Amino acid sequence: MRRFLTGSAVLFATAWAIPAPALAAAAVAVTAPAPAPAPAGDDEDIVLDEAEGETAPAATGDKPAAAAAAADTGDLFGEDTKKGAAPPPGEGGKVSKDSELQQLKADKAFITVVQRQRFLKKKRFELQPQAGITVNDPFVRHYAVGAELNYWLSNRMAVGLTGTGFIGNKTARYNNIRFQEGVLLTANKVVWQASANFLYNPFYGKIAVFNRALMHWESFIQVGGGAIQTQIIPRYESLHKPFNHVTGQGNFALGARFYGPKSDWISVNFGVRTFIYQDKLEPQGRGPGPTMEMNLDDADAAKKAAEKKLAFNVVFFLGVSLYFPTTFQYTTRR
Amino acid sequence: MHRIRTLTVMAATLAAVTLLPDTAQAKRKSPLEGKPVVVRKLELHKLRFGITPFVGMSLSQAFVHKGYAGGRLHFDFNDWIGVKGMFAYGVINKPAKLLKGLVGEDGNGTNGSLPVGGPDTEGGTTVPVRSGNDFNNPAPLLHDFKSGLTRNDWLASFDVVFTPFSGKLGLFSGIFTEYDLYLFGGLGLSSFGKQYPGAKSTTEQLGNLDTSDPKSAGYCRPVNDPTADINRECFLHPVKADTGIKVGPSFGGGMHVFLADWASINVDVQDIMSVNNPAGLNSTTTDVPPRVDKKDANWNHNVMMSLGVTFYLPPKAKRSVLKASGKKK
Repeated sequence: MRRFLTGSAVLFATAWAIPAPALAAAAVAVTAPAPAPAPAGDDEDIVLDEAEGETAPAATGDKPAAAAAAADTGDLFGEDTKKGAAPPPGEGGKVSKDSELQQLKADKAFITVVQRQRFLKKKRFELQPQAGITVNDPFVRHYAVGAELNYWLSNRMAVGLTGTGFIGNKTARYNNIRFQEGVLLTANKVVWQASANFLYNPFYGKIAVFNRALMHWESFIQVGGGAIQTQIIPRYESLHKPFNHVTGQGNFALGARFYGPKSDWISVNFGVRTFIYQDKLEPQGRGPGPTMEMNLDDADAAKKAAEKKLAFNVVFFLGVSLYFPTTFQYTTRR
Repeated sequence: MHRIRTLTVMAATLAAVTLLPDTAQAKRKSPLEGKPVVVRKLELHKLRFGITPFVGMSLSQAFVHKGYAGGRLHFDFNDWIGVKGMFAYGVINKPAKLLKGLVGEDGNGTNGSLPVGGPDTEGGTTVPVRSGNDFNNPAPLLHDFKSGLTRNDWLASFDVVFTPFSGKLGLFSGIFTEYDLYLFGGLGLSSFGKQYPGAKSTTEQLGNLDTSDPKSAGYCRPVNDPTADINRECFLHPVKADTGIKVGPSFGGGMHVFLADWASINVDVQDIMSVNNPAGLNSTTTDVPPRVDKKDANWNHNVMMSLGVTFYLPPKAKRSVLKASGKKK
């Protein structure tokens, strides 16, 4: 006898196939007895019911089953998977020598690390209000409030815009140094920033909370560029007016977003974003003192004589993302 | 009679409509309801000791950046709560940009902003005195500043550790490992010593000035000559290095990424707060004459970021057992 299937595969196929005939027989038994099964000959091929393999799974939660039944062979990130598409059945519905391998290959295409991804974002907009605080400057602390608007090209990649307003204040250390060392620090505060960003999610996973609840999360990296405005903090605030400086900036961020078990349109996020830009500092000659330059009292003149310096601003932020449309549909069987 | 029958049918229909869904929903109770998310979970913390040698660095320090080496010892009562003790000793001291700007790159005042002072030609002492050019400079002399400046020497804490999150991590679909995220809080100790141990203030160097009572007529004058001129540096720039051990809250968070049952990589950020005066100088304008006291100290954050490897005992982690009732053993 020619063996088409291995023992375990036969067992699997049998266990899979039995429930359907049994249910059918139960329904038919009222009207007519089930026909006796035909004896299997030695040369008889094992025939798989391909249609059964395409049975749509039950809808998850409030997802329509029809969406799953569409059985689009896209991967879990919502992208079409041509290679993973199930091959056509063998001739006449029979299993050829290659069909077992093809079937396994097709099944493997659906096996991913996380089955199935809790939250799909492809072709959705994301609006994320954010609040943050700067963490790298011991002398000027900024509180940041802003928003991010993203469009998800796929479940992993998004492009978007970010805007942030900053409220900067001198810290106690700034004032201590003024009184203790008699030194007036040259420092700037950031006023606002705006940038266009590209976001990529390299990691995705599940996380157990007390081993009782399950959350899905993913980490992201984001790079962007745009404009940033800073303002000097005059060393002699009662004598001089500050000047503003708008310049180009680059930024990158690392962070994570967490999805709850029930909502299809909200995630909670946190991250750290670093802005890099060339800042303009108040010139040393501005102000009373032995090196005073009178012409620098004017803000515009001081700006022209300003010292340039590469600056870094690191912001830790929390955000809540709202996704639109507020629902999504799975495109894979599982 | 007909009306009564109609009302009875309507009541029965209403009862069926309102009650049936509940019955149906009760039947749909999931067999997984009330069960843990992960059955036969590898309990990597429960009833295990861990020891973590680590290296760390300070974050956001004004005067001296620190490099630490230390260790943590912890014991977990179950997979989500435990206790730990930490000790970190400062092995690297790197002057921050501000400190270099004050004392100069060489630490001796070359190109620094603090006045160095000159030889005491009138008094005949070896203690530097303020030159005429710096007479109106509100900054202390370099040696006075150096005598008061402190840095963190070591950090220690005892904390309760809370590990609510745990999961598996896949890297490049090839390596899979367990990880967890934790938060902790407790009591911290921070010890401060002098940044320049050999530096002495003007008062210390002269050794004969009366500093007992700022309101007395002889304050900052030589004890044996109360009619002599007031020493300007003693009077206007009092110094008192704020050394010793400070107690404050400790809190932070971190992550374990397991390499095996018995070892994990540990990334940790910890803040031990302290009330201290790092510069040891007066910072208030209400003291006349100026003096260094508790009002000059404020809350400071001694933040340390560390990377270490945690080794666990016993080396083999057990798996949780699910009882028939659904509760974990």
